[in-house]
Amino acid sequence: MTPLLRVEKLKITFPKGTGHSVPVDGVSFSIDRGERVALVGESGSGKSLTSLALLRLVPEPGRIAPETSIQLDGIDIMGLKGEALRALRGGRIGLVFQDPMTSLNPVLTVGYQVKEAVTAHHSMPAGQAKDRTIGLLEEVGIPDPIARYRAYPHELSGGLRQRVMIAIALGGEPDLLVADEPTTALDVTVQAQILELLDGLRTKRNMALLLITHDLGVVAERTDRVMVMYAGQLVETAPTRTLFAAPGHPYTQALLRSMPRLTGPITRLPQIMGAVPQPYAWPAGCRFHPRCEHCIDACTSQAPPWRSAGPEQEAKCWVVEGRAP
Amino acid sequence: MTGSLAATLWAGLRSPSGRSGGLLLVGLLVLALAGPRLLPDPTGITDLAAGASPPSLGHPFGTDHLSRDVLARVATGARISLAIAVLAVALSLTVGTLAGLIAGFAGGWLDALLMRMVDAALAIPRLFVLLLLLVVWEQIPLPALIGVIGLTGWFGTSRLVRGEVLRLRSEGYIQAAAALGAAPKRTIFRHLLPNVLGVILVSATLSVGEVILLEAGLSFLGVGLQPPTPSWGIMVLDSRNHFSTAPWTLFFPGGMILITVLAVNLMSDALRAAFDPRSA
Repeated sequence: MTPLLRVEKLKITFPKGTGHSVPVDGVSFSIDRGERVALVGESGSGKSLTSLALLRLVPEPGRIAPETSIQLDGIDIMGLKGEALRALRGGRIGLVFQDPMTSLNPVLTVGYQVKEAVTAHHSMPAGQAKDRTIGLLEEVGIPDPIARYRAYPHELSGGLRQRVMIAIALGGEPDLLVADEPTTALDVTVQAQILELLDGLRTKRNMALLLITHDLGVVAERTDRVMVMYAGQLVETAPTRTLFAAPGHPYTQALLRSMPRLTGPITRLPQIMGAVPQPYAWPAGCRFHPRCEHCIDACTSQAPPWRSAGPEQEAKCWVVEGRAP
Repeated sequence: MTGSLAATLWAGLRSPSGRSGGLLLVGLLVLALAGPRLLPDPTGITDLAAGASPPSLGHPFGTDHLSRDVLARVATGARISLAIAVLAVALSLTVGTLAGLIAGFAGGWLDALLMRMVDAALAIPRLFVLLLLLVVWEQIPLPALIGVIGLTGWFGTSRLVRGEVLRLRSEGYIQAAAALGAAPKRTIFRHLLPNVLGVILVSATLSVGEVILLEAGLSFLGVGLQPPTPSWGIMVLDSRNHFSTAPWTLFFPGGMILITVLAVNLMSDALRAAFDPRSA
């Protein structure tokens, strides 16, 4: 089966002084129909830019390098222009934004904004559009959708607004839903509800879901596969279960170790020393080597290759083999 | 405000400031429309030897130094001054808003080009531009005067609107509109325009009084409308030599300008509140 989305050598550059900064540098991955994939990484690792690149919405003055290839269901996204590009945005790929407080237009009713998404890609009579909008509001679990249709965003709670954002993203019937930190701005209890909703919708509509997050707890329960991003590159990809049981890359291991646990003796939480490097000065060799406890000579000079760390698990690391299960 | 613009406007009119502003505006309109039909000829000299007489039953606003009925002149002036104020401001707001929306949304060279033009235009005093235009145009007809005033007044508005658009462009919902595949036209008119309406209304409020006085200034300098045409501005200026002996010739046309500006202020306040759902 050919994957729904295939991204190859995604590279995003921003002009900086006389040179360039490269916040995303050679990211390749694919997502199957109906698959749930998480992209995790720290702030500044390039995960949000990666998601925007799928819609060709990299903010100015950023550029997607010409060697990049992005294919969705056989369509070459890099070659799209004008109308075709607009049809992709929202129509094939839906985007759920991080902050439901600012991502809804304060002067338009909720119903209007959802209806706009419904009619943006499929023209239909006004009455039908309204029915579908109310149907969508119901589907994303908004109580009393007929009354809420006329509500303004400020009249809704954060959780309800995020549900509206999801309804908007679903309006164009996308094949792939990209959710960029969809729960960051919400209470923990509401977070769980939103994740459950996203998962339910994915199953019902056979959509693929790309969940972008820095929260490993979010990843653990609701995804099939995890891609770990560090300093503009993917460093590990593995089935979720495997990743948590036997992380391959030293960065992933360190990330998991730095998560608080409910069991075991209470000790000081281990941390990863140092900070994420800057995109205009990535370290030579493996980009994680200055912070890595397993660093060997090769790491400091040569970029590591992808190596198998287990079944369906790969890590971009020179030393991974020794510890693979 | 989705779909039902009329409902929003109605809500605005029913608020306290909307009611008082609306009442004042209706009063002004009645005066402008019915006044000149019912009152004596505004240019008619009744009794030149009598000169200016204070308000009386026969002449509720008194008469001026040429013994013309001030109420009749104020009513006829209402037509001219309101026409100039409303139409010229509408023209300059439309052009200024469009220019500001386009410049702010498009950015890049188009923004730079439009805004440098605006900079250049703002650097030259408006009165000077108008004088240049009007000296070559003797006895300017009213529609042309409105056009000229309107087209020289949009620069500030475009600046305000552009600034607001630049701020809004980084808002999540404008980016979300792009992610949904909204065409630029839709983003500009459906998402940006309602959000800059407050700024536009403030700009309109300020412009109305300014334009009435600008017309008066032009007439005073002899390049706008000419006496005996009774615009409020001309009346105010005419009264300058007589206001110590006949203060009513200054008071009534001046008061009308004040009431008009007040009415527009109240209305724009009410409309701004009505268009902003958060203050409802």
